[in-house]
Amino acid sequence: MMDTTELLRVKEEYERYVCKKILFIIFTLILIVVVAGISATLGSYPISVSEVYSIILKCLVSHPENTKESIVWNLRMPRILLAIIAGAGLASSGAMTQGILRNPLATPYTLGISSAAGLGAAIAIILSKGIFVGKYVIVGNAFLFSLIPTFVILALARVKGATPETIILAGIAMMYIFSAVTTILMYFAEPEAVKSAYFWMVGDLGKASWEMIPTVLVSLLICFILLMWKTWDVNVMMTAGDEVAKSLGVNPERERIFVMLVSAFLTASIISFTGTIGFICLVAPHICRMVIGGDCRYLLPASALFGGALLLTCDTIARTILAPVILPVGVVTNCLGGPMFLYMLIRRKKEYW
Amino acid sequence: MRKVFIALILLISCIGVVSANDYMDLFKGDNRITEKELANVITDYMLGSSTLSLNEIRDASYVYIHWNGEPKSIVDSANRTITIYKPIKRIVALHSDAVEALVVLGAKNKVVGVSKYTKESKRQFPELSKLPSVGSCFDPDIEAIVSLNPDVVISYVRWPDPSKLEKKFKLLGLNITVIRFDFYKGSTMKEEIEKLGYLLDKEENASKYIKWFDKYENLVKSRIPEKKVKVYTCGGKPLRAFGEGTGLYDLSVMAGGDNVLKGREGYFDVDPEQVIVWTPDVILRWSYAGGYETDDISGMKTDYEEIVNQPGFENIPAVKNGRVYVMSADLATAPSFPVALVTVAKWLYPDRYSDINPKEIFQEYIDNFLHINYNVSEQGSFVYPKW
Amino acid sequence: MKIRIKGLEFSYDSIQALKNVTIDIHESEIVAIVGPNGSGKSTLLKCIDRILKPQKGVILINGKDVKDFSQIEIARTVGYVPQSVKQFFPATVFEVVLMGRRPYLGWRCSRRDIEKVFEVLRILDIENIAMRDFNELSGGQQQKVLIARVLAQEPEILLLDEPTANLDIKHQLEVMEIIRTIVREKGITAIVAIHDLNLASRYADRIIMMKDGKVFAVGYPNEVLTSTNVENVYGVKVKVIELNKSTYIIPLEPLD
Repeated sequence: MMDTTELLRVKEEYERYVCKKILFIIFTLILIVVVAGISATLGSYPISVSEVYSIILKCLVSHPENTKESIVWNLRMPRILLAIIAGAGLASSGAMTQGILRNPLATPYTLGISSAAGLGAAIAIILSKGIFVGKYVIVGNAFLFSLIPTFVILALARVKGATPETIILAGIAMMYIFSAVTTILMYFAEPEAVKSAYFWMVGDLGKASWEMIPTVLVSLLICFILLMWKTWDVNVMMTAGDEVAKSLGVNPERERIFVMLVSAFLTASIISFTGTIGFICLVAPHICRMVIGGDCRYLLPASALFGGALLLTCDTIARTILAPVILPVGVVTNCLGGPMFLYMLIRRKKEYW
Repeated sequence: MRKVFIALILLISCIGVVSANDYMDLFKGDNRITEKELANVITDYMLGSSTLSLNEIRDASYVYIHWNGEPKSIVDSANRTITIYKPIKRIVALHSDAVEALVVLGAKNKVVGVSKYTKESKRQFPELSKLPSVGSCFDPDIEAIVSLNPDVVISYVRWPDPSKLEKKFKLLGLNITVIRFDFYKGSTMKEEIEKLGYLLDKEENASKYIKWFDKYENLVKSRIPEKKVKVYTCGGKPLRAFGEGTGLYDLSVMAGGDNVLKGREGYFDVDPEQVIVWTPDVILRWSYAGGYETDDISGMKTDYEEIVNQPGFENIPAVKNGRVYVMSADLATAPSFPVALVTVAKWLYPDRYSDINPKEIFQEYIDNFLHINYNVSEQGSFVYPKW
Repeated sequence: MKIRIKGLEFSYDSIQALKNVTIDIHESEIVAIVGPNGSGKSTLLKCIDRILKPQKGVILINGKDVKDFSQIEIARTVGYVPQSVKQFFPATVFEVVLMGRRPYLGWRCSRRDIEKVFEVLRILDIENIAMRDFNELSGGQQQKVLIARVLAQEPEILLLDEPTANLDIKHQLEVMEIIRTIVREKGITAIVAIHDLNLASRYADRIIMMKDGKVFAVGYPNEVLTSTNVENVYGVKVKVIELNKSTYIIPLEPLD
């Protein structure tokens, strides 16, 4: 029965297979650095490329002293960092949500989170007459509201069982309900408020500042680690189904809820600052999956890095393509997302479900 | 006042910005530049031991001579206190109504940057539309603004969000003052013009405008009869009502109309049967078609016909008697407001205004305040049917 | 006594699938569970592996109540091969088999786990398809992969739910041969739910025949597979013949 050469060949093939995944992850890391480097040099204020880099190096140790340095360090850098963090967070929660729901089209938004956050922000914007509301009212409200669907789905799952079907249906119901309430609210509001609320929902990184970076960064790191912890279990649930997962020592319902909660929290904490940026949570994991397969242990970090690079690219395009007019990044991701999906559809080789 | 001043000093010194540090010292303590302080500063400069630049000394002298040594302070339309310590020389105007106000005040050579919408208004602002663009008024490009080195940025009250404007300047450690004025609401127009005029040392032009505004406001007020005409105001589509608090509603009431939407606020869709029950004598519609830049009246004509052809509206007195009017937003929501006021008043009470030709008043405005070569009789599309 | 089941009862909502089932299963034997559709075969297997929780009854493995095992302990003791082979997400054969190591995986998979997977692939003679996509394989190959997965679990007990259901006759025999070899060589106990009576007869040490959720008959193949029993349970008239020391069932006609 033993054929040594055959076995050796297969082992080699396996090593190469794993290597490919690791190389891809390294590639995406380099990609982020490159895109960030390019993005930092772009903007309406005239600053030469070498100046930009020397300013960055300088500001790592001291404070910006003049306008040029301030623009690079206080205006461009936070925006770049926010794009990377937000992209990473959205892609990560997208990848894991797709895993636990066994559906490559699932996203945290499918759980109703974006509609709820939109409602929270709209309420804060429309009910506040002036613009100088407390700094964090819109952010806080969006965040609080975005967690509501999660708890509703939790409750439903308790009654009906935490199967992918239950969660997806419940999530879509939440989406519709919150959208409906938002629509009613906007219908009766004055155009000025409606405009503001709409802008919020499209997704925009324009408010980035160093102040918010620690919050989103900590959120990303904690949630990412929690998600990585569960990648084995999600792998099992994904490839083998709930019944076999149980026989392998995994509690699919409990893990599904855990991952859902973490993903929801991560998504909520990002979109309450940036608005609902679409497609990254769908496209980034999908592309990574096409290159390195569905193993969550590699897919999660790859998606995170690729998502960061992708969002950063989109945002850079958004703020430079029609300069000095700034497009909200949500517009670019939506425009890119559709055609990208068609392309992937045409090129796909494997049946997904 | 004192608190604002102290905060400003602390802010600037914390971030360690280069200029204005010593300049602001002149205001320390008594909040004014005294003759002695000015003399010291000038002599220091002459002896080569000054920490102030020549420009700053010029500003100090200006303040001393023209402002009696004291800073100027106003409360803008977003309810914030704006204090300036030196004359304003470079302005970025984020919206076209502010640009128009600056033209009216005779301050157009202080403008250094405009929004992309202003750039498209080539006929209305032949020179200013050539200035560099800073993006949209809702989401301006901060870097573009900063590269123009302005003293002041004027924006709408509600947009952009402060986190995208004031906060960004603060993050950059820049001393750019943001003033929020709308310049499109009839009820606050005079006040805003007066305040901005005060800040820009254009008080004379401001009062000239306000006198002209008052003249027509009072004229209209004096001609409002006992028995008022019933008006229904709408925009966007015949059934989208503009209720209390909206600019169009205010316009109709100031012109002497009895608006059927009284008691209902904001914008909302209305049941056509309700409009028929109200039996308005005049229907007034707001339109974004038309304006300074186009002579083509067909857009506003379509708006007009939509109302007249609305099923059921043939029963309404306004439609039966041909008293449906469409007005361009360019005319109504701008410093040209008094013209709009008289136009609407004449539509409401034609027999009381046989001596008034609103078109002439508009031409007056254009000649005396906009200073452009523009003939309202031949150019533009502001009302339908004709004046 | 490897497994002892006493008074097991299980209902899906209102339908009672298992009624007072009591069975003993010995170490290192192959037990086939036969019976018509809906007789409770799958349900029984799932109860043993605690995939389903019975409303009444006790299951003892190695003398210990199944309820007292932790999830991981059960996973290391009992392996389950499901009826449907559907794979939800694309995965290579290697990855599918690697999942079987889940009860042993720490925070990352060790060299030992990977070696184990290769070993198991070699045993089933499928190492040449290790990197192929599972969904692209034939039914026979897929079944072998699933068995490889369960072997990677290193269980003491194997539960197989209709492992030969979608296979051609060659692969049916191959799979049953593999099960028999594993049981003999590794001393594993195998419980196979199977609908093909002849395969059961040929490969099982003992047969449990079920009807309507109850144990109808237990014993050696030639004891259980009588024409009377088959008629009773399946409603089919059959002829029983002896060939090469095995009992074979030839179906004749359905009884009304």
